[in-house]
Amino acid sequence: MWWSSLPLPGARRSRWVPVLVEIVPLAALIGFSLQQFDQLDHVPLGAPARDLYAFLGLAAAAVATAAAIVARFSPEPDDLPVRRLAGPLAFYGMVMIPAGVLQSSSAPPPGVALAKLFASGLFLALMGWALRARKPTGLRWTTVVIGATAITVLAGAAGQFLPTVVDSMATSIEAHRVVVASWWVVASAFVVSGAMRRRPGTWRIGIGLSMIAVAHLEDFTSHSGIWMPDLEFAGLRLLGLVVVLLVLARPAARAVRSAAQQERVRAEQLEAAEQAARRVAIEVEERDHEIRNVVSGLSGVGHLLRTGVDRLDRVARATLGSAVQAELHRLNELLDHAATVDNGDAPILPILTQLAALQRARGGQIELAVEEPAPRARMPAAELAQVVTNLLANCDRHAPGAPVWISADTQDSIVRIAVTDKGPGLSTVGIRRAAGAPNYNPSAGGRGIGLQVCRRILATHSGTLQLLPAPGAHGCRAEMRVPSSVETPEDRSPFARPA
Amino acid sequence: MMDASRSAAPVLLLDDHRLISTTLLLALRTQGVEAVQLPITGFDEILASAARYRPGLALLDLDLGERVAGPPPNGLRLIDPLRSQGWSVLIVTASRNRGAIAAAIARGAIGWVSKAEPFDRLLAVVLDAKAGRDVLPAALRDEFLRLHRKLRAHDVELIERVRRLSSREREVLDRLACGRSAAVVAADFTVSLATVRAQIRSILAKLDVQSQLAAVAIINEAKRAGII
Repeated sequence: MWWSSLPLPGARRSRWVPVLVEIVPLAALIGFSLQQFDQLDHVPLGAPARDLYAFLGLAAAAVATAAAIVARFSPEPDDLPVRRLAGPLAFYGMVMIPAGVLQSSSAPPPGVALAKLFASGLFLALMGWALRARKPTGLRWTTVVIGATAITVLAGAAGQFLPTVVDSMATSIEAHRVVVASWWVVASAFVVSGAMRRRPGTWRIGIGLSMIAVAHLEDFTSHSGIWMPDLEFAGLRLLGLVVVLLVLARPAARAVRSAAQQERVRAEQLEAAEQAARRVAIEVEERDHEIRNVVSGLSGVGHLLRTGVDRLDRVARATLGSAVQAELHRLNELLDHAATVDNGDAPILPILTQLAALQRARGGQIELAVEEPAPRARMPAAELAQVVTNLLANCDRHAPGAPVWISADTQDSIVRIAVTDKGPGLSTVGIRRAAGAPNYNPSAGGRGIGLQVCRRILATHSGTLQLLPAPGAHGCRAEMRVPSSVETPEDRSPFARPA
Repeated sequence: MMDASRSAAPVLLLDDHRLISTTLLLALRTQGVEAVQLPITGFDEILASAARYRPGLALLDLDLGERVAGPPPNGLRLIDPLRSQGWSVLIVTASRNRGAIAAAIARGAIGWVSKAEPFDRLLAVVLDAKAGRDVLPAALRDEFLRLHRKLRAHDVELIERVRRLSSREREVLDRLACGRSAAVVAADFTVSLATVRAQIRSILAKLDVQSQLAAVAIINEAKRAGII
């Protein structure tokens, strides 16, 4: 959209500057186009122009109706009480414009002028009310449309019975002046209110309404109609309505996008959590299975001791004794293994895979490269996951949106995990600070405490953390090292590496 | 000893947990029932040693440990060949996996007893089975068979879905399941990222899931169930 690139109103700049920046060029453009079109006046345009006039009118009706629908289903942004615009816009698009196009095709019967006057007045009053009203009123947009239509029809019907002087008053140039002036008042009210409250949505709707107000100047050239179409005014009205539609559609589109995004992230996180839970459940089930076997065996021993120990010969007793011992040994190993899982044998691949999946689910770009065979770190899995999570959070803070690369390998029984981002990188001062005291950098939104925590966790497992400039032009590389919990084959072979 | 066991059909103990199998053996012997523990080595060795005895009752654990090929419940695969040797197979398991038990019943196991039962009760069920009495009420058997049919349908559906994938799509999905990102997979196969994204979209469509994680979960489940 053309205004997206314009600067937002800064704190010190006048609140009017951004409004004028948009209005002045637009006004110049409209003036220039009208002047150009004016030269076409009095050129006999013939039937195609009439078709075009009708088409522009119907398109305007469609756009206004679309704007009403968008407004109705729009989330309520702080910008504007958007939903209250649905009623007047629907009335304008579904009643006023079609009626205008139809009516202009024939000589107006008495009463029509009064009806038009009432309709314009109602529309403008409803728009102004939308701008003023603070609290939801509970008035449905259908009620507004039906009510306004009924009042207009009643006015038209009444006009037929009233003295002709009323009709001529309604068609008088003064009446048109009042209508057009009211259009300008409402449009300006939107612009002023938007500028005062620094709400771009409001003043842009004001701009759209101003364009329609300009289009209503056609009422002064009272011969306009399907027989002598003023295409420039019809086109301008369409353009003004398109502006209103676009302004209203923006927050709606944003809301739809973010809702879809949130839904996706939530679903992915849920699935990741379910998968993790399933994995844990399987591990627990396996362990329980082993323990049930041990308990069942010992229950059998109890049975034998109770019922028939004197019937067992020496060989049987020795067999039983050694089976008990073997089982207890196995149980011990089982418990030891369980302890090492929690206490210092972190499998790198599943931990990093899980974290990368979560990061991706949040919309981050992340690459993972873990060497084969997958390393295992001699530290608790939960703490390793916390360190890597902190490093990723650090990337998020200092290089939001930048691609992240995680690599893991083992060298000389040391597991090395590097988290590299392609962000702005660290200055040498930053690296020095990050290496020492907590790094307070308010503009980057962090105190560097996350890195201190990482360092402390790693230190308790004889690990280290280093911040380096990433290889290449940009970025930062956080490298953690921690002893490996498994010997790599090279380590075992005396020939693999020269001492 | 072997000739002696040929004459009297012994109870065969097929369990990799030594304590439970030893206590069962001794308890059966004190009841005057001959029993033998078979070393749990490989699939073929177990069947070869079982063939040396006169067939009777075989007590089979469903999870025979790592020395027998295949993921648990690897004991399931012994049921058919043991039955064709003439053995009646009674499942003695610590597993709470009702699906595995249902599969064993469907393959013709005469019944099932949990190791979580008190040992006296466990022994009583074994002695009943040895004496040729019914150890599984018909209603329970039907329930297990129904469960088995349901799970089998689920497995078939899983296989169906995974089979729809082309071999390249399978490779891509396997790599995604290892935690690789689409970009890395593209580099691995030296194709463009757009190609891999298109393949992933096709995988999601064929597996009828919404997300990459769900697709990975399906392939992991299929692998765990040992059906692909």
